[in-house]
Amino acid sequence: MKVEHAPRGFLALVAFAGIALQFSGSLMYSSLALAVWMVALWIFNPCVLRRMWMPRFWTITLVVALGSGLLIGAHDEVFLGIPISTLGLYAGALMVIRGAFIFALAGWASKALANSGLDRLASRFGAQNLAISAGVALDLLPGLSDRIQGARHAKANVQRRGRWKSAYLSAVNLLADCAMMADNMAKEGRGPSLVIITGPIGAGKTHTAKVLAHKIKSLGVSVGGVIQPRHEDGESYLLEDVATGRRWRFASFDPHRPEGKTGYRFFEQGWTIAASRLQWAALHMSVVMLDEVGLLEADGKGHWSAFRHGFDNGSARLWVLVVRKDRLESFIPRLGRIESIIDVGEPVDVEDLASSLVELVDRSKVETKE
Amino acid sequence: MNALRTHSRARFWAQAASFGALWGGVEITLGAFIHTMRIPFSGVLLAAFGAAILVAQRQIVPMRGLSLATGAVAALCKSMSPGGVILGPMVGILSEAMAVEFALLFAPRARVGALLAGCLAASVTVLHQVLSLWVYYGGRILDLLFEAVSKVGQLGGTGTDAGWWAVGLLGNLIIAVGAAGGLLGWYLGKDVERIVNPGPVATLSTRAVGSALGSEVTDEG
Repeated sequence: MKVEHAPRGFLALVAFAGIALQFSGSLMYSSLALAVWMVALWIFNPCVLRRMWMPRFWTITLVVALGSGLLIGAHDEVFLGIPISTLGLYAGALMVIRGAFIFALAGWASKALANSGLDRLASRFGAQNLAISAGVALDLLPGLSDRIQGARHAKANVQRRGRWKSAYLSAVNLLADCAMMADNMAKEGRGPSLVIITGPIGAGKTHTAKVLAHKIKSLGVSVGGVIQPRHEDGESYLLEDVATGRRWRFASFDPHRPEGKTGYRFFEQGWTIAASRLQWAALHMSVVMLDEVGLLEADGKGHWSAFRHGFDNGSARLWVLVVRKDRLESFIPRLGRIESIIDVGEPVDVEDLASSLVELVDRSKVETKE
Repeated sequence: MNALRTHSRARFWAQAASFGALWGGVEITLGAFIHTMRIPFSGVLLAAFGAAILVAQRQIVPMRGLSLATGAVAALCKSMSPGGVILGPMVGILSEAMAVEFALLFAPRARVGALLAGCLAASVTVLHQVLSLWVYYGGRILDLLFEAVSKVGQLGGTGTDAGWWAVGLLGNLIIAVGAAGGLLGWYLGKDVERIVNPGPVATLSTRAVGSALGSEVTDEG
């Protein structure tokens, strides 16, 4: 890039000289400063000169110059039948010349300081944390910009009535992702590991989680948590404590659901049981399983509260979450460092997986002791 | 204690990075969109969005100085913007952040603080525009603006005051847009907090858990 190779010191010297000439208040000196600066840019940094082609700015400048002639000072001349003030025109011309000079100066300074230049400047002034933070932010920027664009386009696809609600919910989710991404960054390297089992509806996620829990137990590692297998009636779900195998009714298909919605009616006590089993497992087990992390959890409901508390405050070394594939993308930014994502849509060697997870737990225990 | 302080500092800068990137992203993507659409007072709209982000952030993480740090990070992100001059917008972002920080200094989680933050951020944008004109064109530009406002009133045949009434109305509108941004941020922040910092797990009384556990499904049932 040309800016990198331009003699910055020389240009800075010319810039300071130009600024000094502005103090005289003379139209001639100001014009001279502008001319010298333009020539210097043309020789050393023509791309900044090209960037000065901004019609809006130049239109405003012209309006300012003409406005001065019309509005400031006594009208001592007549031009095209309009009374004008020469003093006002002089002042206007001076303003325009100064404006153009400072605009060109800002264009060069912006380019010279941009990107790594600003980082270096921040570091030089002892603001290392700010420089590091800016570096992290620049890494996050493309992803977040995509999300902002995505939210804007998604809004257009929703019916007019629900558009604002949808936009509001998108904003809530985006902000929640940002906050949790930051929290995960801050505690990088600490806390339990996280593995996700995913796959489309009916691919056997819950079954895989159950078999996996059994295999891990058989390798001598304690496993707790809850899974939600389908009841034999095919229309309701049960809540199963992984540690004991005890089962409770959890949700049943709601025949009186509002039209167009596929809804389940949850048994209130199911949530109480799930929260208590998750709390207990987070404190006493090495591995905790949590099934059906989905729409409710994305909205901060369902198992979310129990999961966050158990994950942040418990002593379990590994959490295995079962997340539907179409919900996965919305959870990834919130979950932080994910060790592995297992897609049951493809063949999975559960025995092999159990061995690697046990290794992960053992390694994590050693690291904690150290 | 040291570890706690280190973690707290890490969290502060991580939050600044994350929300700074978000604000920077809004300035670059939405800003470009609004400017291209030639929407008048686009700066005020962007300031309202910025205030909403900062106010929401302080509802989740009420750390003093965080809005300013986030603004500094967003300003650095703005340096990636492909526009010609970026120094002005960067100064604008920093001054908006400073205004929000000032408003939230004493009551970061109160609704009135959020309203004030939005109003100040939007007002600072206008002040920044006027200051930019002053820097570009010198002190005479202010005389020119005052003259223009008076003349507009006279041209309308309603006297010099009419121009100032119009300016006042516009100022109120700008403040109202800012206040709406601040308030939106407050509501967003409360909803986000529910997800990010869910309250303690529903008080699980032994009796409730015991009775719930008793409803176990047996092979027969």
